[in-house]
Amino acid sequence: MEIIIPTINLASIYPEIVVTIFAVIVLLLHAFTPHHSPGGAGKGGDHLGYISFIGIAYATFLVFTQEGGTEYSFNGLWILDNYSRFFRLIFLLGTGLTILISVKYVKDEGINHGEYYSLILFATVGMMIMGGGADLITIFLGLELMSISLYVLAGYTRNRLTSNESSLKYFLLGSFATGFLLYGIALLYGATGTTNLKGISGFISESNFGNPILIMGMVLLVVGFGFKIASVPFHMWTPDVYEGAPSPITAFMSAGPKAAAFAAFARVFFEGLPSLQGVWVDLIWILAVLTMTVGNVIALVQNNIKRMLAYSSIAHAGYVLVAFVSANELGIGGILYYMLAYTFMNIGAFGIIIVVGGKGEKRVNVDDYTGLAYRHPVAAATMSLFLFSLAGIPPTAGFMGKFYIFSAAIKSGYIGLAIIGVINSVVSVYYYLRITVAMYMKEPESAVSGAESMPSLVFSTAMIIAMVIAAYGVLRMGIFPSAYIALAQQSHLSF
Amino acid sequence: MTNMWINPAFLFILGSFLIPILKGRVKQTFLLLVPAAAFLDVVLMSQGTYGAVQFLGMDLIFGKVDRLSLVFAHVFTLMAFIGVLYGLHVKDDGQHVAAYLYVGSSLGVTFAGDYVTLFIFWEIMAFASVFLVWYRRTQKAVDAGFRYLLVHIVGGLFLLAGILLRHGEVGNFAFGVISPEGITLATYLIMIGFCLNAAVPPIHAWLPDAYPEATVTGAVFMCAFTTKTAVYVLARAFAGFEILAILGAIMAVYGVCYAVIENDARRILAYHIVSQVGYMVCGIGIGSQMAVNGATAHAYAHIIYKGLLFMGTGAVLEMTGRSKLSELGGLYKYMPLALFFTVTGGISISGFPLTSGFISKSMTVEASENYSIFIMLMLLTASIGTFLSVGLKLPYFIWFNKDSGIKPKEAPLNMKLAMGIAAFICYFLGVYPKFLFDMLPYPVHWEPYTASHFAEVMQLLLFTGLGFLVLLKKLTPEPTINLDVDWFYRRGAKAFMWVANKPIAIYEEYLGEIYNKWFTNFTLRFSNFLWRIFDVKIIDGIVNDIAGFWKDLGGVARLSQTGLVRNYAFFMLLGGIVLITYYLFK
Repeated sequence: MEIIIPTINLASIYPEIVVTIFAVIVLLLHAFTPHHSPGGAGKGGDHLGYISFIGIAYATFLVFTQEGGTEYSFNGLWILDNYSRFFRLIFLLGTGLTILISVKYVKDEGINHGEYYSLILFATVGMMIMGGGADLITIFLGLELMSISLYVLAGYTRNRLTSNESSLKYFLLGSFATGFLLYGIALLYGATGTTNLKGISGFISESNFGNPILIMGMVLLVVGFGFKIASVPFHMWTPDVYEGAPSPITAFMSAGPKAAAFAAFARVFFEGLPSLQGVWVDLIWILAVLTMTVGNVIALVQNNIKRMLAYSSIAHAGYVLVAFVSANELGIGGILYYMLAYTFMNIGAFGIIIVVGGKGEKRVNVDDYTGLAYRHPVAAATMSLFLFSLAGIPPTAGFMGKFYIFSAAIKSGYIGLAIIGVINSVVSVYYYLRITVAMYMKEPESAVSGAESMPSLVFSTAMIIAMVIAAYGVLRMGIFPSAYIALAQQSHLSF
Repeated sequence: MTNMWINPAFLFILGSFLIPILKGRVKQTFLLLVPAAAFLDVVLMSQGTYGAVQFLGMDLIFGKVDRLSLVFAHVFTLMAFIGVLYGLHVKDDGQHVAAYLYVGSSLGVTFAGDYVTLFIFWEIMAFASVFLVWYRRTQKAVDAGFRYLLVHIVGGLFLLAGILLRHGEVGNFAFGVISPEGITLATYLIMIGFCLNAAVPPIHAWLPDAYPEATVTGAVFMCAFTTKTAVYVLARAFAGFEILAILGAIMAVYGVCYAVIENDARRILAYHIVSQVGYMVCGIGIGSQMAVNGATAHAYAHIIYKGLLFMGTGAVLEMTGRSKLSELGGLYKYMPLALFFTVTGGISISGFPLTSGFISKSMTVEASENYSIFIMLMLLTASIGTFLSVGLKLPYFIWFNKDSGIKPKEAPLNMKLAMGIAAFICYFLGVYPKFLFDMLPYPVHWEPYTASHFAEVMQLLLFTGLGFLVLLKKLTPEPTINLDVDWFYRRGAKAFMWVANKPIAIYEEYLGEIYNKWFTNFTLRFSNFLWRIFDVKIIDGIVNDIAGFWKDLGGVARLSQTGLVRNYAFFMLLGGIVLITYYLFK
């Protein structure tokens, strides 16, 4: 028997290794630090967060030092190209910001454990593996690592019922979706005899691709990925899970894991199934329209701000699907650019939600933002910036992202889709600006009850750093987007 | 000077960031300094093309300076100074910031040499100006603001669609003259986008809807910039489109009709913007050199006198808290200066000799005479209504008529100063028209003060005045609400929210309900059945676990009002099945 010795290129997975090591360090550090208080729960210092952040920063640095070009390793299971590099940056950015906005939150909620950060880091490793997987199995492993970490994180505030509910729902439905995905992978394997994306695409282009098993496998993959990106009709978990999960985790889930699902989704479909593009493009078209419309329309009537942003994140997934449909090289760049922009603006918005929510997340309704500008002008202005960006108002990152996506759609001839998308983004202006209006245009309730319902906001140093980074990103990508757009365009897939 | 060019738009936009930082006198000085600097910048500017930037493979031009853009920038910066002075006492930083961004972006539009730059500034303009409405902080203002904003975004989208389609046709984004021959869909879309901002009926309703709800200073800014920027872009791109001449003439009459029956002082003025902009749109549609000159001159004069009128009524609103004519009256004893300034604005808008309105309006009207006598008649009719409602009715019912019993003080000094400057400009231009005529895009060979012209205007005005005295009873304003086409989108928005609230929210509940009845019941019974068998028969441990699982699941599901995991899973499954069926039977 011939033994194939795979090319092991550790250099191509240095960032993943670093994040893994730090995940273990944080875990052990907490276990071996003496806890002074009885039980020790929630009494770890800030250092856990900062160490995790250092790990992320170091991994980011490593991503920048990696050489350009496309390189396969580990026997074709792993690919390092501009595409995966760009997505890694998105994941690391999302994770870094999440850690920063968590530092105070976990202390307030009494969940300052090593496990918390460790799980975030493991989820990040999972995402990075999804971004770099060149084989369905690699992608699946990454997806599971990410998902399982997230199931736990969603229920991390154990003493809150909504959080438990959120976790359980996510777990049940996530497993269900995984079943679809795995079934799809199995069918693809059955039809083509390989799980390697290049192998699959080679097989399909050589043989007749009208095989119904192949098509079924593809559809099941759409269902599986559709769940992870929260596309309608596979979206129903999103509002419940986002509402119940701890706010930093909600922020995290809406940025990194969603981007990771898109990374894998696009990789599989553009690299593995490009010959079937004529078949799946209709499907994605429908999903894009449904996702944008349902997300935006239901967001209109939400009063809980976390729930509203959950529906909004569904809608944003719809915009990214528009980029997916208009799949020229500009379109793929649109996915990358939009996910980066979305990471900045959404985590930024959640940062303010965490601060306003206060201990126990008590103030998460739109009414709780009434008159915020009178009490905390800086917080209100920052929130408005993120909301403007989410609504796609110039000169912010969100505007450039939408502009990019919709012009790509028009250039590819999907004018109808672009029109639906643009109308949707008009609808969305209403619910985003509703918060701005509440903050600026309405006097706070009577001074006595107001003082009771809104104590002074506390910004920790880490939170301030996160907000500055996010605000900078939103403005920078909106006003001087050229560098980012060039980077996104370089990072297209080789198809 | 040719190599150095400072975009006045950026002076305002960058300046707006400093406003919240500064305090007290320093802030007030700074607020005045920026428009003054921008004004100087425009005065000293020489023609040419500046600020060309390569961006994503598009050629962006931030500074297309020619006679047309210069004259608009001239009056914009001048009005910005007057407006800021008028609002200097306002403590609300947000209003200043919004006003700065608003002025800055309309200057950005004025100097834009390509559609992309134009569109971006166009959008910022809408978003900045809506805050001037919202800062009134009443529920009515918030609602009107949202309507205003949504209408403008939709207009912006028409524009964007037109721009992108046009790019597909001509291959570039250059913003310039569009020929009236060979009109395509793109041309119409762009024109609709522009016309919406110019408040051309039937897409004008946002203006009288939102402006009266704006803050006192906000309205002063808004009346000057949005519509006049639109006039500028129309003049640049669509000069000579006949449809604009007709629409403009209709506008002129339409606005006046509503103004005559309105009761709210600021809503009367808002309808007059529609009417006055009608003259400009009409002039642009006629397209001859004289007509475009007339439109431009009228825009210049209009910005100042309409600002003055809004300042005068704004001062009354500020001091008394009222703007409805039926609630005012007899103020001449207490606010004589405001009366004087408002009447100055009123006679200017009516085109009295020796005021700015006389020289600009008659230029447009005369240009229309050579074009179509019918259009000229419409414009003259509108003139009569204008004098009737703004020149006579408005001052009469605020300052004279019955005594309303309120005794307000005169407005603060900065307001009076601002009104004084604007009033001075109205008279100055009327007496010395050459100042304005020298700035116009084309050379002017026209003399406003001829005997026949003078006599014609005076006759018209005097008979109107006589008519006013006779009809005084009939014209007494009633506190009613006059509905305009905004009714449609008020209802439209309501209907939309209803759809969002009712059917779609119900959809999720309803399907969940059906599902609960059939699928869930079945599952529960089945599990119950299993549970009983297992309980009765065999292994206790496992049984308890399974039952516990179901119970927990039920408990968890009960906590959620919105739905059950099973529903969600069911829908995922359903979605998957639908997709697969679709492909299998395709």
